[in-house]
Amino acid sequence: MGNLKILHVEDDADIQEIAKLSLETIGGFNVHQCLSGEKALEDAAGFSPDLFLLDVMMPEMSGDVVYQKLKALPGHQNTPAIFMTARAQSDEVVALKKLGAIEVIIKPFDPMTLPEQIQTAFDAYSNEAS
Amino acid sequence: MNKFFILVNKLVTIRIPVKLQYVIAMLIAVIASPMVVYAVQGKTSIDSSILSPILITGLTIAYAWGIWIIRSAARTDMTPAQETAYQIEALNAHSIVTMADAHGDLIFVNEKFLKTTGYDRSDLIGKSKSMLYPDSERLLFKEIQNIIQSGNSWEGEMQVKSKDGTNVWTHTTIVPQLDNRKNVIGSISIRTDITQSKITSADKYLRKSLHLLRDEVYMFDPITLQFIYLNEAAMKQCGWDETTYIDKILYDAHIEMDGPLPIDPSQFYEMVRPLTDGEVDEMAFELLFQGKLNEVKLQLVQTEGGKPHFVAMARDISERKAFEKIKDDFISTVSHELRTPVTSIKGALGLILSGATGTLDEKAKRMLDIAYRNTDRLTLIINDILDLEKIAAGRMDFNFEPVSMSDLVADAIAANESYADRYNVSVKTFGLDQELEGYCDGDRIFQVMNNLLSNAAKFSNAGDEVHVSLYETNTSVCVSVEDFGEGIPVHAQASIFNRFMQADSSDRRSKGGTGLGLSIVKALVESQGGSIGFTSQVGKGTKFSFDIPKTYSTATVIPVGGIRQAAE
Repeated sequence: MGNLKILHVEDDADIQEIAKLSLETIGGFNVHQCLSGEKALEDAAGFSPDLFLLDVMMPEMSGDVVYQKLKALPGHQNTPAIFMTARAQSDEVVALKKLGAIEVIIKPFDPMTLPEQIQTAFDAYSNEAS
Repeated sequence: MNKFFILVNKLVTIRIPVKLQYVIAMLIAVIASPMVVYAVQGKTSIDSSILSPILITGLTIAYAWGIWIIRSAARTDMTPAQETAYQIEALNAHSIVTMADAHGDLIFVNEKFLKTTGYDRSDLIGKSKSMLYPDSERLLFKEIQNIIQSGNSWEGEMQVKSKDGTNVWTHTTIVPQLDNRKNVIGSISIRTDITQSKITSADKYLRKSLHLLRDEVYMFDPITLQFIYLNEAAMKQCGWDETTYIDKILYDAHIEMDGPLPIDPSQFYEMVRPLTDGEVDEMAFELLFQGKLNEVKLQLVQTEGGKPHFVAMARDISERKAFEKIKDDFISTVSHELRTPVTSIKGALGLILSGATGTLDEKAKRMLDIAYRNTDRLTLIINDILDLEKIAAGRMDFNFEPVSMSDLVADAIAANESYADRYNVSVKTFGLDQELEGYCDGDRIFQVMNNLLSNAAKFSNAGDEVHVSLYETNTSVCVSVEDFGEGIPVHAQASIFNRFMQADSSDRRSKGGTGLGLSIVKALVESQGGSIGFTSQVGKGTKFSFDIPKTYSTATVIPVGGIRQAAE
């Protein structure tokens, strides 16, 4: 898998670590992680990611709000987002896709197949866009 | 003289024996004679010698006059026999009368009794009067018998059984008939029908009770939609009283239902057609009523001989809804809180097991494998509980669309491959080459297939086949999943779709699962307008079959329970 630059926002440090191992070791991606939406908004410009990987339920700022604010940053209006959620309700999945999510991954996720899932969704999006 | 006439008139209103009438006439004559003398003397100056013939003449006239007054006014010169007949006639006109002999057998019933109770005289004469007492008055009958036998009268309210089985409420006096030695030789019962006043007072009682209900009660005409009755709570809700609600119709009550109530009454008639057509006995709606969320139950009621009318009972459920939301949020939060650590555990174990963190010796790998499998189970349990909660609350959402059933079944079999491998089971398919479409939520039917396939694998013997068939009827697409395992014991078959049910409770541990699966499967299939059933033979296996409609069916918008409800 490629050199995708992924900005990962997740408030649970353990899940963050597992995702890091999965995405870097197995997926070979370039990953930058933040524990909150605020931090992500600060770091986004310096990191300039190809993709946002966002947890939905976070205490300060929920994932969907973070995404809307990230999109408002210069150069990121077309950066795609993949959401991870523990709420497996189909109405929420529909709402997130409407918001522009290219994929919604249900927790608990499988760290062995996570990189593949992300790459597949990103490729499909890129092909469609080009 | 006026006072004298009043006295006479008063006397004649009393029944006076004939002999006494002559005495009174004499008295009148004696009292009247001096007046006659005075009158003659006052007007003329005649010699007193001629007074005595005048006096005698006066007395005679006065006597005759007195007789005439009394006779003409009273006219009561009946014989005692006539008078008794007259009294009986009056009694019969007013009262229900029966007479019984010493044994309590009926020997006389009057016309009014026959008219009131519908019996023929031949139904009653010679029969025990106990036949007139309804079963509910048995104790009272005995009590009255004792009182009469002891020579006393009884008076009170009691019911009398009519020929058609209905009861007539009466006010009754029963008097014993005694011989010279004071032995009871019979009884006479005199009754007044008070059923109507009983009904009126029961009606009042009912109305009062309705007024005290906390639920709002509205009754209205099914055609004009004009209100017939509102209880206190309803009047308070609408700001009306007894004098004003009578002019109002349903639309004056400011009801909102997904927006205002249909303006055109014909739309209202259409909405309540299942009631008026007799398809359902009751319809339930959730609607905004004066700005508050209410649950309204509507019935079309017709009493015997009355006009049909709608009865609506409304209850404010805004508090209950608020509580339900808190509960939903809680369950959602708990599930999220549970999933977060499970995500970490499962993720960490998965990475270790895959060798991403270095090689493992065989024993450690086996132990980690057990831990990993059990995090899967834990996830399934959390999902099952959430699903069941949503189904129970009627909040399971379905995205209906045409779904290729052959693709769906093939996908489900593929997704379940590792599970089938674990139990060393192979899946054989029949009819999957047909292009059959079902109108359903593909994800939910996938969930159903997943459950049936994993059950089939779990309960198969190692090396067995599982047969999956796809076929159709005129209106439905059908899928069956058959295993050749141990089968479901007969005693467990009736409750196999119940929550937490597994044929053998030890299965839960040995086979895994929560026992919630089949109850969820049944609810999922039925909520999509389909049905599910099974056949099973102990020692030979089990076959589950379900069907879903090919096209949109009205059943798919009716939640389980069959009553149409307004959207929240």
